[in-house]
Amino acid sequence: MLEVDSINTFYGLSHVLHDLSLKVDEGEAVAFLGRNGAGKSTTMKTVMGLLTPQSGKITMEGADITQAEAHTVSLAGVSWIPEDRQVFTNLTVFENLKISRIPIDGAKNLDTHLDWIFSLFPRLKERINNKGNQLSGGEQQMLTMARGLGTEPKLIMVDEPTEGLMPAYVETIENVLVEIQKKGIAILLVEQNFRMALSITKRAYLIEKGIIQWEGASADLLEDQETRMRYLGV
Amino acid sequence: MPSGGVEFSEFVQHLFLGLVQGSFWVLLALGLSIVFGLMGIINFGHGAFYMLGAYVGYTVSNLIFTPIFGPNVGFIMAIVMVPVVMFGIGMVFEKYVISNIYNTENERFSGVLIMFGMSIFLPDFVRLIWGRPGKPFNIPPMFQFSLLKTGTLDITAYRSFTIITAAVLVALLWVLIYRTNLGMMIRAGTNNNTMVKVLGINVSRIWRLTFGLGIALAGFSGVMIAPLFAVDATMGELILVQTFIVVVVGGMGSFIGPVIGGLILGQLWALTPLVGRTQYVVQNWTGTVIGPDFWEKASDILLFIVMAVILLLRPRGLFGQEGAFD
Amino acid sequence: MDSAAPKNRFTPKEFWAWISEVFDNYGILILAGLLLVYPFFFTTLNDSIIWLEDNDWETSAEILAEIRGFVPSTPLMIQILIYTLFGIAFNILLGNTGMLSLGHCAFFGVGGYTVGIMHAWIKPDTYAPDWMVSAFKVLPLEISLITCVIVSTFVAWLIGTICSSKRGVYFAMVTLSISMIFYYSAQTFDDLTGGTDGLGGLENMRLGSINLRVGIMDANITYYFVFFLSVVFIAIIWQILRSPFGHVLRAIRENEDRARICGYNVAKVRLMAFTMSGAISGVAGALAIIYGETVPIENIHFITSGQIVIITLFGGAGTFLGPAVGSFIYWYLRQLMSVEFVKYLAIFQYWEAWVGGIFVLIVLFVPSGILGTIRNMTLEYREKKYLAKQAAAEAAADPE
Repeated sequence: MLEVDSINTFYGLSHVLHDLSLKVDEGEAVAFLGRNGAGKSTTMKTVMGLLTPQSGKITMEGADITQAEAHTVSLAGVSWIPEDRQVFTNLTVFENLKISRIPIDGAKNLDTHLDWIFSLFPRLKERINNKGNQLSGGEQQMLTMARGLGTEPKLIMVDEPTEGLMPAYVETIENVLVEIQKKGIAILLVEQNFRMALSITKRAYLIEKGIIQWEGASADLLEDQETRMRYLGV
Repeated sequence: MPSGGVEFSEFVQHLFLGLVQGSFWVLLALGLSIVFGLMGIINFGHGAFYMLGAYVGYTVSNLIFTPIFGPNVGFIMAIVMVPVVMFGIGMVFEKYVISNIYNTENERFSGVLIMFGMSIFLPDFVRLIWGRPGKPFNIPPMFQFSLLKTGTLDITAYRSFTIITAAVLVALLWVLIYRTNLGMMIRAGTNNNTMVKVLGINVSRIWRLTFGLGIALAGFSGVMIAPLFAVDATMGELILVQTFIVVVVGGMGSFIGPVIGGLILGQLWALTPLVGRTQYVVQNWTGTVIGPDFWEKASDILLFIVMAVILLLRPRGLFGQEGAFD
Repeated sequence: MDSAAPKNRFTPKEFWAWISEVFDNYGILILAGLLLVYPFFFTTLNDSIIWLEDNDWETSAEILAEIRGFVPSTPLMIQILIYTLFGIAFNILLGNTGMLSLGHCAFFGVGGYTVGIMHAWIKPDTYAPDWMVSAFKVLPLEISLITCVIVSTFVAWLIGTICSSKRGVYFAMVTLSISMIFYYSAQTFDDLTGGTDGLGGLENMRLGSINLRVGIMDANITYYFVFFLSVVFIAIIWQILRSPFGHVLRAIRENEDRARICGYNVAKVRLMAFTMSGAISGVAGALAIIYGETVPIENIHFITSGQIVIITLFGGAGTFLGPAVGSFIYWYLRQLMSVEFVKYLAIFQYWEAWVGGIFVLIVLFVPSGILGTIRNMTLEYREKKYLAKQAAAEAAADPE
C-alpha cells in the first residue's frame, strides 16, 4: 500500500536519509526501530509531505505522493501521530476531535465517530470540554491519536506513542494499537519500547544513520539479540 | 470630570464621538489581529487597503450608482460591494504576491516588508488613478438627520449607524471564529499550522480566505468612514498607526483585546480635548497655563503615550496571550 | 593540460567574482577616492558646458547638457552620502542584529530638528533666552551638531528602552508607532517646528572653528563637509562592527537564545545597538538639512523609514557597503524619474508608486540585495573552484 522507494532527504545541507526504501501492506503492522537521530521521524515527515525528498519516490496505493503537500497525503489515507503530541492547545478536546473530521464529511456524522473514539479512549469523554493545554501528557497523547484516527486513515504512522507516559496509559495505547489493527488500519510504529513494538507488529525495520540496516519478521528480531544489540543497543 | 466648564451634554457628545472612532479602530484592529495570528504577518498595508476601500466605495457609489439610482442606493451598493471587491483583491494579492514568500528564509520579515511596500505604493497608485485631490463623499440623504439633539449634544443618524454596523460585524466575526468550522480551522492554524495540514485541511486556502477577510474589513471600514471625512490618499496613514496602538494596548492575538482596546482608546481620544475646559488648571513647568488649544491637539499624542506606558508596564497588552486566540 | 581551460577564464561569473573580490578588499578605498574627486568632475562638466557655449559650440554644449541630465549632480551626491551614512547606521540593526526597525525616521527627524531649531531660534527676538543669544552671536555648527548627537542618543536610548525587548515583526510595529509620535508632535507644535511647511530660516550655518559657511550657497563645500563627517561616522561603525561587540550582535541575529546562554546580556546589547544606530541616524538627519537649509517635515514621516529600509535591502542588508549601493541607485533612479523620464511619460511623476512597487519586487525576487547577490555568487563560485582544485589534487595524488 505505502511504498517508499529509495528516497534521499536533506535538512539544509546535511544528508539525513540515504536511499531509504520501505513498504507497508494493507492492514499490516510494521515496527520501525532505531536509535535517536537515526532518521525515523524524518522518514515519517518525508512521507507526510512535510519534507520533500531530493530523489526517490513515495506512492500510496499506487498514487504518487512524493511531491504532494501534507493535506493531500492525509486525504490519500496517511495519518501521522507526531512524537511531541502537538494538540491544538487553544481548542477544546471536542474541537480537536471535530477538526479532523472536517475534510472527511464536514464533521456531519460526528457522533458515530466519537462513539468509536470514546470506546477506545474513555478518558477523553470525561475531558471533552477541557482545552488542550489543560490536559496531562498522557491525555494529550490519547487526544493526538484520537485526532489522527479522525481522518479515516488506511495507514497510521505513530511516533513514540508511549514516550514519557505512566504505565497505565502505556497499556491503553498498546490496546488501542491492537484495536485499530483489527479495524484493518495499517500501522507504522516507531517506539523505544521494542518489546511492546515487536509483540504487536508482524514485520520490522531497523534503521541507522538514515540507512535501513535490517528487515524481517518481528518475531525473529525478538529472538535475535545480536542484531538488536548492534542497531538498538538493547 | 464633567464638571466646571464642561456641560454634561458636551461630555456625552464626546463619549459618542469616541464610540464612533473606537468602533472603526476595533474593526481594523480585529482584521489586523486575525491575519497576524494565523499567518504571522503584521499587515503594514492595512491603512492603505482601508484607503483603497474608500476609493472603491467612492467609485461604486458616486460614479456608478448615484447618477442612476440616487445617493441612497449608491451608498448601500458601496457598503455591500466594497467588502466583496476588497475580499477579492485580498485573495488575489495573497495568491500572486504573498504566497511567494512562504517557506522562504525570513518569511515574516518579507511579509512585513511587502505590506510596507504596499503602504508606500498604494497611495500614489490611487493618486494616479483617481487624481491627486481628495474626493468628496457625502452622508447619504437617508442618514442626514439627528436621533437626538439638545444643546451641544447631537447624536447623528449616520454615526449611530456606523456604531451599530461595527457592533454587528464584531458579533458576526466572533461567531465566525468561535462557532463555525472555518473559525475553528483558523484558531487551530493560529496554534499549530503544521498539524492542520496533516489533518488533511488545505491550509493555503484558509490563509487566502483569512487574508481576504482582513482586507475586506479594512476596505469596509474605509467606505464606512468616508462620509465622515473626505476620501484622501493619505487617510490610511494615521489610522494604521492608531490601529497598531489599539492592538498593542489591547493585546496581540486575542479577540477581546482589540475590542476593549479600541473602545477605551476611542474614549480617551475623544475626551482629551475636554480636559482643557474643566475647572482644573494644568500648568507647564514655567507656570504658564496649558490652554484648551493644547488639549485639542493632544489627543493623538496621548495615544502614543498610553502605548509607551502599556509597553513598559504590560508588554503583552491588556489582554494579550502568547500567539493564539484564546 | 587541455586547451579548454584558458577559454573559460572570463565567464561572467568569474568576472563578477573578480569584481566582488576587488570590492571586498579595496571597495571602501575605491569608493572614497571616487567620492573625493566627484565635485571636481561635476564642476568640470559644468564649466566645460559653459566654455563650449561661450565659444559658440552650441551643438556640443547641448549634447553635453543633455548628458549632464543623466549625471548625478553634486547636491544629489550629498543626498546619496547622507543616506549612505543613514543606511549603514540603520544596518547595525537590520543586517547585523536582525532587528527590523520601521521607526528610524524619528531619529533622522529629531537630528534634523535639533540642529534646525537651534539655528532657527537662537537669534534675537525669538523663543531663545537672552543669555543664549548673547553667547552665540552666530551659532557655530559644531555646537549644534554636538547637541544633536546628545539629543538623538538620548531619544534613541529612550525609545530603545521602551521597545528593544520586542521581537521580530512586533518590534517593527512598535517602532513604527513610536516614530509617528514624533511626526504628529512636529505637526502639532508647529510654532516651533514650522509644521507641515517645514522649518525654514536657518541661514546662519557656519563652522565656527574655521569660519566656513556651509549650506545652500556652495554645494562643493557642503559636499566636503558632509563627506568628511560621513566618512568619520562610517569608519566608527565599521570599527564597531568588527569589534567583539559586532560579533555579539551577529550572534544575537543568528540565535538569540544561544547568545544568552553564552552569557551575554541580550537585552542590553540590543539596547546598545539600537542607541548607537539611532544616534548616528540622528547625525545623518542633521547633515540632511544643511544643504537645503530647511527641515522638511517629510524627514520625520514614516516614508523616510521606508526609504531607508528600501535602500538597505536594495544594496544588501547582509553587506557593509550595501546601503551605499542602495542609496546611490535609489536617489539616482528617483532623480531620473522625476526629472528626466517624466518629460516623456507623465506616469513617472508618481514616484512613490514606483518605489513601492519596486520595493515589493525586490523583497520577492532579490531578497539579499545587489551586493548580497553578488557576494553569494562569489562564494558559490569560490566554493566550486575550491572543490575542483581539491578534486584535481586528489586525482593527481591517486592516478587510478
